Amino acid sequence: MILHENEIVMAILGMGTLIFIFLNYHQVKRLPSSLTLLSSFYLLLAAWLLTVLEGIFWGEVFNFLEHLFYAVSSVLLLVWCYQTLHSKDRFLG
Amino acid sequence: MILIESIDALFLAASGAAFLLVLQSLHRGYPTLKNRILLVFLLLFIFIYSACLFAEAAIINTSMDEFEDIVGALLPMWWAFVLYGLTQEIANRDLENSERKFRTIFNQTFQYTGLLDLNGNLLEINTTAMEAVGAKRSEMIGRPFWQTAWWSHSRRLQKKIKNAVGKTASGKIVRFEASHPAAAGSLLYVDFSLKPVMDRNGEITMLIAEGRDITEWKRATVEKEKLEIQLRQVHKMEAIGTLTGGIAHDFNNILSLILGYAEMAKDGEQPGANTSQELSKIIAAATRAKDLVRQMLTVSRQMKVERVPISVASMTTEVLTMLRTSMSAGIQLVYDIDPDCKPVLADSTQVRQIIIHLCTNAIHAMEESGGTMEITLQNVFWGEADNRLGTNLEPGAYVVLRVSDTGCGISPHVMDRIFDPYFTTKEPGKGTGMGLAIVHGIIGDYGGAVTVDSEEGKGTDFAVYFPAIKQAKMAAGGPDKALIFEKERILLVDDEEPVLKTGRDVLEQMGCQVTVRRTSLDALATIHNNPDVFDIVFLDQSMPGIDGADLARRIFSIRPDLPVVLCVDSPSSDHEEAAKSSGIAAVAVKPITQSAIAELMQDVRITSGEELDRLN
Repeated sequence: MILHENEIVMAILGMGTLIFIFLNYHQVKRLPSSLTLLSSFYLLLAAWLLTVLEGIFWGEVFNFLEHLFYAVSSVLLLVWCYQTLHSKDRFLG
Repeated sequence: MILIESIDALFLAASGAAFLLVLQSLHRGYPTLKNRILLVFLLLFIFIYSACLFAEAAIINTSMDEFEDIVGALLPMWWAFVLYGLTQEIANRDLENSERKFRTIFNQTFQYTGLLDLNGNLLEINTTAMEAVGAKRSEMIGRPFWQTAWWSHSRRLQKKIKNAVGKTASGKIVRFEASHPAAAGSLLYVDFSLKPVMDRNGEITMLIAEGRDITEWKRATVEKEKLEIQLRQVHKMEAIGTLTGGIAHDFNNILSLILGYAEMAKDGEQPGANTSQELSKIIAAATRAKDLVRQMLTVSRQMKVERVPISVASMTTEVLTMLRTSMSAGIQLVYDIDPDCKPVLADSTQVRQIIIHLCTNAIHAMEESGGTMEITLQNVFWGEADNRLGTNLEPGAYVVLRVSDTGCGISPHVMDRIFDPYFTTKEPGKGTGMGLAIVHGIIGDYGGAVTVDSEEGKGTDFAVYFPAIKQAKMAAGGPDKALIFEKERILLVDDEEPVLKTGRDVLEQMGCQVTVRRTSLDALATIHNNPDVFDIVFLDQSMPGIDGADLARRIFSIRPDLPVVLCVDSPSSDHEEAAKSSGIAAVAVKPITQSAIAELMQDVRITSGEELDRLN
């Protein structure tokens, strides 16, 4: 079992952000293309959790998934930025 | 490993592209600058993190681990910052929209609305209220409400508002009618209210002042009240007219008897008889009674007079010359008579009556205190758009006679009764109460109007509006008609026995051969049987079944050239028109005196002769 402190800290902080999202879900849901944005964050959080888990079991699988989630999360964030920042009406509702 | 490298490369490329995209969008106005900066840093951190991962996977440089750890720790926190910033921006935007919406309602409503603190200082005021008085917002906000422009015209209202603020701050609702000085210089009437505004705990936090403009409503109410008063007056005068007409009918019949028999008795009396004086007194009293009926008919506008074009200016001057001699020394007479006043279609006696009644009233009003009587006469012209003093006058030219005095004035509580017949505030013996009633009756009959403006203790101003005529020849004196006696064969028709008897006696005394009939059918049968026996027929208009005018038409169908005189209780244009259309020779108003009968007969004979000559 190989656990890295920085990876655990990232996962815990990410969980903290998740709690913030749950507490303010009604407001967060009203953000433009919120599903894309939140999906991006959920995948990033999953990647952080997988980073911790890969040190415990299924190291190679979880490592692969971690990198894959980072990449997909990043693509989703790019899509969100394009959707929202290039459409004033969309952002201002 | 190549697969992971490829995936990391995609991660790196996507995050780099997103970072560049956000950088390129920095100049935009949305989201807010703060959130755009947060977003730039988030994407920068993600880009750096992806670069570290890619470098690690590609074993380019493994010494970036510590840097990767730091950036990695920042990432979740920065996500939280970005999400918080964006949600706050949405909340702020909602708040702005809501505020804009309510401010629009607040400013666009027709109602004047303001917010005050508990001390009465103005916190907020809407645009409608500002525009109503032409005030500037910056000059009003923060000032005590009672010292603002809305109350600057009245100290009483300022005090009232100050008291209202105190009451409302203790939880009461205050509402009353008030006024504001309008920007145009007039007054705006408002239904004003002041209410407390409470927070969730029931604590009063501020006061809300509201004003609803009721100026138009108030104006309409005043107008409606005026119209109601006018309508009541019209109904009252109509009722008086109907009553007078009814009384005149019976009264005239009685007077016919009295005058007829008195004249007969006087004519048949032996020289030196001691009843001559008594009979003269009876005739004089009956004649006075006849004049009284005439006055009553004038009030009820049933008195028919011949109207000719006359100059009110010359009549006014003439009456003033006469009045000046009888005025007391304490009364000063000021007058301004426009000699170019247009002529009016009127009866000169009635115009004299109007001037004398108004001047006499003015003199009486100043009898004790003295003062100034001012008389003016001038032309006025009213167009369609002019406010004609609330009267029903038609647009056009008028001659206005104005009689003003500085006397005791008229008390407001008797103002609506001054034109009533027999209403007087003068001491017994000083006035009959018929003067203004007669003025009102005469001028109403002419299609004019009389207005009055008075303040108790200061004086009264009467204005009489005569409809002017454009061109006219002044009236000349009529020819004197000499009475002539002719022996005639008369058919007299009336349903009332006493009138019939008097009429027969009078006519017989004049030398006429008289046949009397009590019903229309009897009269018709008589003429039918002997159509050429009669020279003149006298018919009473008011008879049961076939009335006088109808009977005349039937007589003409038997003998078209027979002169018919229709006897009516009161003159009216309807009778004149009916008489003209049916060929009736003359219309006589009862009671008819002996001399009037002789004159009528003479006129009828002349007319008939002219008619015959024309036919021959």
